[in-house]
Amino acid sequence: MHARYLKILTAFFAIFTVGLCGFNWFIDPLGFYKPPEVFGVNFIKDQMWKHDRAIKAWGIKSMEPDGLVLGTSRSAVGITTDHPGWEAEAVYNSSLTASTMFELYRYLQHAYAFNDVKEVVFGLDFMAFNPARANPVSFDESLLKVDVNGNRAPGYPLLSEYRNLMSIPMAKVSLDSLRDNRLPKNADKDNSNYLPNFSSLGVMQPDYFPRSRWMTHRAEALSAITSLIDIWWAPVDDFTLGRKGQESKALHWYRKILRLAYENNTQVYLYFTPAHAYVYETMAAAGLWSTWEDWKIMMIRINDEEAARAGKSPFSVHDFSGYNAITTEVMPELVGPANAAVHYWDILHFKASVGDKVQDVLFGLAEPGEYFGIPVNADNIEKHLRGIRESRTRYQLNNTEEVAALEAQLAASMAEQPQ
Amino acid sequence: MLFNSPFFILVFLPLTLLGFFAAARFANKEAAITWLVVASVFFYGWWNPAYLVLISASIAVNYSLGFYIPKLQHLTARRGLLLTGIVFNLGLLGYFKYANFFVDSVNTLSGSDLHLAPIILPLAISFFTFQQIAYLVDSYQDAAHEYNFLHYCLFVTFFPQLIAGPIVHHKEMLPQFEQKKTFSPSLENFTVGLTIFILGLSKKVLIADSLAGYATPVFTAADAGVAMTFFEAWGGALAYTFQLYFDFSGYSDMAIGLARLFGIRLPLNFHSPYKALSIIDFWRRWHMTLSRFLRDYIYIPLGGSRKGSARRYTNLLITMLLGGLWHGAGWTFVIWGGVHGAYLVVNHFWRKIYSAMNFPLGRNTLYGAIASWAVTFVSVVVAWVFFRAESLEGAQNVLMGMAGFNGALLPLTWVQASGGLLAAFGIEGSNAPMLFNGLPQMLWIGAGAFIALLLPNVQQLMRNFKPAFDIYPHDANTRVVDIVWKPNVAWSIGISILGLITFGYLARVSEFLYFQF
Repeated sequence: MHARYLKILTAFFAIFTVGLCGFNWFIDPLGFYKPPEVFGVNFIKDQMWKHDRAIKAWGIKSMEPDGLVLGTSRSAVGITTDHPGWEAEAVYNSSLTASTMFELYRYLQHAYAFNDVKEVVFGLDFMAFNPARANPVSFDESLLKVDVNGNRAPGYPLLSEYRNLMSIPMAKVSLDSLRDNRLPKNADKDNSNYLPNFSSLGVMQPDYFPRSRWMTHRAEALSAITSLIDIWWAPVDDFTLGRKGQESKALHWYRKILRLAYENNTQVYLYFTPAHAYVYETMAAAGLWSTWEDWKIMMIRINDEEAARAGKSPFSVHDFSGYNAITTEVMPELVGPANAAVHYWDILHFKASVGDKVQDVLFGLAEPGEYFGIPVNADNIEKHLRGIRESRTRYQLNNTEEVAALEAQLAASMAEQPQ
Repeated sequence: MLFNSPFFILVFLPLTLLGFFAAARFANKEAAITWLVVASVFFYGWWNPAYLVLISASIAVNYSLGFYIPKLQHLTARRGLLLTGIVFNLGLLGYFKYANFFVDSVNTLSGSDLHLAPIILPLAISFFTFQQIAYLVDSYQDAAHEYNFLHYCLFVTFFPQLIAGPIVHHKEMLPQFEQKKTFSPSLENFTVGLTIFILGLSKKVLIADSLAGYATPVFTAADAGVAMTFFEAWGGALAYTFQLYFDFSGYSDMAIGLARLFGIRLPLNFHSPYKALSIIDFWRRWHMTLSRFLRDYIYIPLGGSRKGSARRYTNLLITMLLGGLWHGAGWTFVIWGGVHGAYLVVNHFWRKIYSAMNFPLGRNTLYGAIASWAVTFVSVVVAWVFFRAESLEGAQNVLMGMAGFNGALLPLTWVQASGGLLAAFGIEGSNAPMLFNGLPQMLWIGAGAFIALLLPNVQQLMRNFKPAFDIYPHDANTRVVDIVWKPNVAWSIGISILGLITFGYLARVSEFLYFQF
């Protein structure tokens, strides 16, 4: 009786393991295993976008970069790694969609575990400091080479990408990927429509957004501001940078990122990302303007404190946010190749052309524009913030129609908030 | 390494089993025990080889003390050596686990700015320290003697129970390694052990990890200062209540199943605690080997119930406060222990006045049982809030939400569909995102409740094969749906499917909650 029981158990496990591993290996939705490529079956890898935590951990492991882009999806979309300003030889964009500071800290640690990271371009996004934001379910620390204390994680790399072969959730991703690969009968592999949307290491190609449906126009931009209040800054009343004299967790991990960089003699270029002006108007309407200003001051202060702690000069901080020629772009009425927004894919995500301008300034290859890339520090930040307030007033006076539409949308959005 | 990692299941476990039985077959039982100790040490060192220094030192000192204590004739000398051992163990635990907490508390109370370099908490230190304290006390009382160093190493490091228990007594485990049959592979042990392991693994991977997705965001937000509404707070607290049970009892089941593969039985650690009808009953069902330790080595030495009611209540409070502190170096754990201490005092006091009034105990009736269960369960859920929250402010935010101070919100469509019913209870509708996930969350909590409250536990399911020692006498009538496992084809297919699904979800390896303690 016991022998038959064990035989059935063993047979089930053997069949399941071989079947599942074979399927996931061949479809290879995240590009880990490189099986023979079959157009219409496993050629398109668009599932990479939804699984950036796994991909980026693996990308770092594969490339062993000495230059890193850190940040949220804004940096993932807008910052290219082939900019001539980089001195690092192998640059990898490890930015993570809707990332928390803790995640970025852990990925930076992961990168240090493979190579000396010489340079980091670090995009600072206000939403990543919302205290209510938790690490997403897809954040899996066992994919990283070291633990939070910097010790080698037990089991790595045995437990990294290979364990996905035996995963039912990965089989679901494989099935989704199979669906992505379902193409018209006469589809031609060499057609530009089927160019890969991601690099072999999972980094988004600069033209991914236009080839997906993410192209913004005015109506869409206006409706998108709701997500800022409902999701990214929610709950707005509780968006603080700390309580009872204690730094929030996000600030704590931001500090740890800088400390790690100073200790490793890495050159970090800090910058406040350029969102569209609609975002700042929404911020003001939601009552977060002063928190946003305090946040910038805090970013600079922590940088100064960590530099002093390490006995080094502070990393440069540039501000691209606020109201300037880029961020105040007038959104086109309708979307289409002829009248797409010049600088933005949507109100949060700037295009690589803007990202290149950002990098020009960060690397000292170009001078800052008016309110675009101003170097900020403890001495000039108050004056700089005052300047942004003034430029906001000018923006409102010069764009009355747009501001009115924005206010109407904001009023409707705020009315839906629970009292 | 984790029990739920593919490396453990596919590589470590088969090799260890193979090595153990091969050594016993082709060499002798000492060779098999040596192999098991080496494998267990490798298992522990997998996390961080540096941990091995501490556990080795702890084993060496405790073995030496345990060796000499029974040999001493003079009572004072024996007592002195025992005291030395207890101070050594508590000192180790105090330094590695509580030093930073102590310094932080002093700073908070006095406004000082003392600083201590971060101390890494070695894995399982709370468990192996308590196990060895129990051994020293047993040696002192002539209830345990171990003169073979290798056997003593196995007693402490036996990998199924090393990391998070069950906390075993020397006399429960080591005599089993004296038996010849332990060293021969047994088909029955394999089927029973594998089945228990798969059941435990599925509790952890399929249920606990799914519930974590609902509990974690609520407590993270509450700790960040976000005020919780009624359904968010209860949703988070209930999700955590069942998550913790399925996580830790699943781990204990896995430990019992793994030990059984080697022909070893461990003590039972969970016996359907959420079916308890009183807090006293709860503590005879929850983490039973810890409550046994607390009873035998703290509560009874303090005087137990032998010195009057007032002293008994004080002893209960002290025991539970220390039990809380054992779980973690933080005030939330101390409060959790204190709350349970207070519950126990109230429970004992209530029993006393109830018996004095000569009433039959109400829980013998159906309504009385339901009321007793409800009061007990809600009390336990409330206390878990302190246990889970990382700060007192976080706990307060969740508890305020549970008490309804921050209003009650549900999705607008629900409130509209109720035709005014929900609104009549003061429940508002909202389209804004909330930390209560509606139907999926309710279904997961419901599934957890169904399994924990209405189905037999693993011990009861496998009762024909005596999977573990039951260290407390229990009523047989606490299971509602009676099922018994048999090694037949139907069960084999059912367990295989459960195992396959569980195995397919292992890719996301998450740590067991009790590892942090």
